[in-house]
Amino acid sequence: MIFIQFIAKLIKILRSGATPAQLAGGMVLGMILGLTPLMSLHNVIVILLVTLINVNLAMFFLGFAIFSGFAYLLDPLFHNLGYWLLVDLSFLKGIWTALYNMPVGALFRLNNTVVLGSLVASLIFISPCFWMTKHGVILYRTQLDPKIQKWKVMQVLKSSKLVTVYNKIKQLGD
Amino acid sequence: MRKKGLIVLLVLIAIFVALGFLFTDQWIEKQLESVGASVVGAKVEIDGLDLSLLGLHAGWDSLQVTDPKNTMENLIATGACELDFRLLPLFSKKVIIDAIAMRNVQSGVPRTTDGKIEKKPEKPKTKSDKPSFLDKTVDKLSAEMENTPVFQMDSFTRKINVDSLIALLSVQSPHKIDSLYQSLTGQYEQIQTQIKDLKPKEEIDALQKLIESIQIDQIKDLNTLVATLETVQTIQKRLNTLYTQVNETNQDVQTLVSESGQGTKQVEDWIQNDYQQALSKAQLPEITAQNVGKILFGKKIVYQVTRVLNITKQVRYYASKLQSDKPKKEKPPRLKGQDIAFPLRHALPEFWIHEIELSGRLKQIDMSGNVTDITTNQKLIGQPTHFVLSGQNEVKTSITLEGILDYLSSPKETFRFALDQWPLEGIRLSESPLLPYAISNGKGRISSQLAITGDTLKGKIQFTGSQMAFDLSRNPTPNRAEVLIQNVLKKANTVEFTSDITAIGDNMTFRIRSNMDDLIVKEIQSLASQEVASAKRKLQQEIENRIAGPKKELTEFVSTRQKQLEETWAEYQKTIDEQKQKIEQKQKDLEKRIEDEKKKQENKLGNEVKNKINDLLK
Repeated sequence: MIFIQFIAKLIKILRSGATPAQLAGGMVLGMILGLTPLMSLHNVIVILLVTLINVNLAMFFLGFAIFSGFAYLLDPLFHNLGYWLLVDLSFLKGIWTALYNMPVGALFRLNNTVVLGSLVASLIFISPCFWMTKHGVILYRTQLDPKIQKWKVMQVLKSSKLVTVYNKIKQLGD
Repeated sequence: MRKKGLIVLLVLIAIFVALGFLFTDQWIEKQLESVGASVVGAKVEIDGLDLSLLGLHAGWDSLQVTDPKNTMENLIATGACELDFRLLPLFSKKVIIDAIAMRNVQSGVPRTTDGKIEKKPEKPKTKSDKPSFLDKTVDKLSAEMENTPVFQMDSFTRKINVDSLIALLSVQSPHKIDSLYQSLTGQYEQIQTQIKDLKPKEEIDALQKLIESIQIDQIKDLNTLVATLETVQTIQKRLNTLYTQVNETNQDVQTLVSESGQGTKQVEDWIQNDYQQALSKAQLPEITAQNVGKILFGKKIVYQVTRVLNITKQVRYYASKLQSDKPKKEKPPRLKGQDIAFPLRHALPEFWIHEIELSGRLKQIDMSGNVTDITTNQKLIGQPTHFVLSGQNEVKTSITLEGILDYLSSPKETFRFALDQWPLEGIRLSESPLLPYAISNGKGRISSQLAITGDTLKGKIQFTGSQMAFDLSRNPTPNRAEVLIQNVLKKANTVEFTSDITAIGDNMTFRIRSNMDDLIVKEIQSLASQEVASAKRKLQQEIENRIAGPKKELTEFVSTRQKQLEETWAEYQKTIDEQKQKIEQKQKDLEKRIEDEKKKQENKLGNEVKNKINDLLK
């Protein structure tokens, strides 16, 4: 049931009036919030951006939900990446020290391995995530959605109980 | 730009601020209580915490730290406290507090509720968790106390039942003596066979007959004389060979005699061994002054020292963690990460309290003092943490507690505690059953120092109790042991002890010397030593009685056989020597006769030649 609800949510978002860029923007900001520890100052900036710029909120929350799960799984990797950047790469020590000593800088908790590791990882994923979401939405809207509607399976299923459920979901999505 | 979004944001901020005003104090209060409880091991309660980030002000109405040893009492309790912190460092996540005044600090105040907490099970130590120097020292101190023998007063004062001890006696010496006897018998028989095989008597007799048969006077011609000389030389050679063989056998005899002597000496060791085993089985007490001080005062001293060392260990752990150059990689819980500390350029550590002024009441004494430079990084401020607390009451009882926690270079901690004119009424000096009585009168003086530098620890605790009197009414019908202790305490006008702890790396020594050692030992000795000595004498006598027979038998056997062999050998040697002398004489006689015979022959030959020449010339 949760899976069906998720599909319904996704379809609703994909078929909404928002532009692919707005949806991709929401997904990217949701990804940053989801991947990095919630109680960090940079997430206040993310929330501010979500509140102030016109990104799709539903996609933002969806992205946050999806990437929070990834964050849990990838935590050891983020810890290792953060430790490597903070400790092993000695030439970066000056930058971290400067950041650490900047007024308010310390409040960003960039000296924490998971905060830094996950933030760097999410910054790296911004472009791929934005591009993939944007093109995914375009692909769905222009090619996949009309084709899916014409599938024989769909024609057969239209008369079945499943389709009734689908229509209900669609109504929910609309 | 979303206008609605902006409105939502402002509303959210307003709610956040409102919630902050309402709940931040409670949340922080709970966090502080939780952290404090985990450090102390008992409840820590803060009431009325007020934190104003905008007003740069904090304070609380009361703070109670439960004594983990007695959870119905507070280790520390303070009244209202106010403090201000600096604004600018907060933007760099630094908390700098110039001064805190803590008034009405008290210790030993009873609690209305139990301050006990359920302790979480300790995390099992991994292989990488190497014990620190302080861990090892704490473990060794605990082990030292565990290994201190239990002082069984009864063992000194009970009647010793020697008969039951004798019944249990298992003397091993007779069996050992018997084995030695069997072994020596075999060896002596072997030597006897060896002598028998030599047949020296028969050989000597035969040679003697040969020597006596040589009648030099009856030999007429030179050739027979020469032949007889050769016979004499052959006899001489045979005599020499026999002499050598007898001598060799004698060496074996000497070795056996020496072994027999050693065996007999061993018997004394076996007897001693049996005696010692009997003593250990009988568990007759050895009355020495050792360990009495440790048994009496060790537990209390170790408890206090361990407490200080455990706190020092925690302080050291955080000091090294916060100041290390390259932090060790940890395995933090998921989504928590590890905080890496970086050098701070603005000469301000993350946390720094310049000074805490303390005043309050401890053990009925008005105390005052201060703690300076509590910080996360001493290197940045260039100052160690220093605390001093002192006070005196109307009856001149004074306390001084002073300490320096120095992490500017290698870790160095120094503590000093002094208590003078301390009224001892109602106090029990020791938890040991050896000293079960409370003090009814007396004044105490404690002076202690503890210095830990890196992996070296040196500590000294001195206690002197003067004008001492003990409350002996606790037990109106004392038994023998209690009478003994009461006698000691009646004589003990002064009680003193000095404890020394030294630990360098893995080596640790812990000593306690006390005047009670000698007092108790003297009393015990006067009461119990006669009985113990008598029991020992009886045990020794019993062992000697049981061993006397086999021992005598062995000694006699060895002595008889030894004498026998020596006599036999002496006889053989004497006979051989006699025959040797005789044969040498015969040889000399023969050689003389041969010379004479030669001269005679020469003269005869000369005369015959002369006669023949004369006949020819006629």
